[in-house]
Amino acid sequence: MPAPSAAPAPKKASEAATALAARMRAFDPKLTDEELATIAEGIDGNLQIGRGLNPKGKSIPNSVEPATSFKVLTS
Amino acid sequence: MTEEQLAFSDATTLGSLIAAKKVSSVELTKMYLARLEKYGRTYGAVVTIMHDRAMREARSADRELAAGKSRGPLHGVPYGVKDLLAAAGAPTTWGAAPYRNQVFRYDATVVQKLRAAGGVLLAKLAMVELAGGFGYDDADASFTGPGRTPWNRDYWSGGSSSGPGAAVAAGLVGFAIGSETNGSIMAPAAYCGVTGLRPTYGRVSRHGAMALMWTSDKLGPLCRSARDSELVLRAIAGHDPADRTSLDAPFPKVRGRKPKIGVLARSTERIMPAVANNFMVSLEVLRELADVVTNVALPRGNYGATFEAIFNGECASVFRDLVESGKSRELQSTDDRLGGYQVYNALAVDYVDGMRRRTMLNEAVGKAFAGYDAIVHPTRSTVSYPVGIKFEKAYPAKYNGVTGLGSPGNLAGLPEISVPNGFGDHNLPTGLAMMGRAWGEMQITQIAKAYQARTKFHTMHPKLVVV
Repeated sequence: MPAPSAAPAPKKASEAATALAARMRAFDPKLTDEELATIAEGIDGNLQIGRGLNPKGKSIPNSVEPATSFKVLTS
Repeated sequence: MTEEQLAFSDATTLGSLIAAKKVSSVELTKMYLARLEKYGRTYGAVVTIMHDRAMREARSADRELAAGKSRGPLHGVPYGVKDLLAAAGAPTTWGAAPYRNQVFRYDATVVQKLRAAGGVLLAKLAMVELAGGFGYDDADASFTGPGRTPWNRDYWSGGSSSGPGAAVAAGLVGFAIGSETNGSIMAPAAYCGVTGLRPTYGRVSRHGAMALMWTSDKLGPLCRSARDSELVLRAIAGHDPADRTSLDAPFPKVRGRKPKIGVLARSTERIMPAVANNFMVSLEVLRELADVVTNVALPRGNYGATFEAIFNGECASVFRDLVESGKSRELQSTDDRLGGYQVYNALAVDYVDGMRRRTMLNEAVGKAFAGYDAIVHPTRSTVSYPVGIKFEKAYPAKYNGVTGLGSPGNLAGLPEISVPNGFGDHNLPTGLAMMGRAWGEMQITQIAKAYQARTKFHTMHPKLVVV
């Protein structure tokens, strides 16, 4: 799917998320205030996902590389 | 053999009948094309029926057989593909209104490979728009309408491979190709009572398939038996220069010893009673053919958040043009219309951190499950969701238990198979999932075949209606 399991978004969006959401009107001028509020809640949800990566505040060892790492292509 | 019996035969049987000249590919193709026309839209299973191409390929298959040339066990067998796979000249809509007129001039690699194996392409099958990329939360998330399970059309066929699941269950195709990024083969397999196989990441080329999350997208078969899924996987596997992630990985031989199966810990907690009961009965069957070890724990980790952080970053890049065009508004699901803007604003640092945590989680999962040929669990925690109700409101929250190994397995790129294992509420099917080691598709398929040799659920089929 992506299964329907998105992290619950906060009820009232943060100012930063609200500002980012407002920028989306550049792509779709018809976005209503209500729709922008929903987008802002979603953007705050992104921050929750980020916090969910590390709920105990334990940092990743410096040496751990991303699962996909850059590789030189040989022709 | 009646038409119904023929339509619901598995691909292995259909191939044998064609080879023995008891039925021709043209006859089978005509039958399935008629069934697609009759039932396809009732179950929201189909986007484009490809009459001309199908008949051309079927005639070619019959001509070759008459001349003594067989392309193998799938020679002349009709099939369908999820509408995120390119087929030359036909619309490839990705299930989404903004792409409904999109046409590619080439066939996806899996379509080319199935053609080389003698398959006959019948139809482009329905799917959740953008394979669920923008966060749909009800079944009505495709410009072709909701996919409906043939067991009870008031309920969803699952997603995002909704059409392949429904078409296989309704006997509208011999088999189908779906895709999975995180559950899109497993869920429809369970909800439609069919066998779905998610291959190891890199086993099958994605060239010509819609991208959703490059580091997790996989293509695999939905079939009416485990033996079919093996047959189809062998036909579509292998390296393709057009997809750098694809490999010519061998299929390791299945050893003669009894397989060792681990039962995922807590997998019957907070799930529907009928799902739990069917799973416990399935374990009794598995004990006849394998050494079964209970209570095998998934290593602790934030799999869901890790998957989402990576998913958001890749999905935002994949669909940047769509979001910036403002055409998300044309999508069917209200959530999808706005969800693109959410992923567009995901943080790069979360993406990279997600990929770093993925490294650690994959190592932990690999170690924890290394001693097992398969880890088993109920495919989904409930039967399918009703059409017309938000997913979150469909069932009590107490049934939000372990939905299997979706994120852990997909983060690690591990193969998994789901087989039907009974029925639950509303006469809806349930599934038994078996996740294997990397490149271990033959091990889990072997177990699934042995399970199906002892059960009849995969041979049962629904009574269809026309609406």
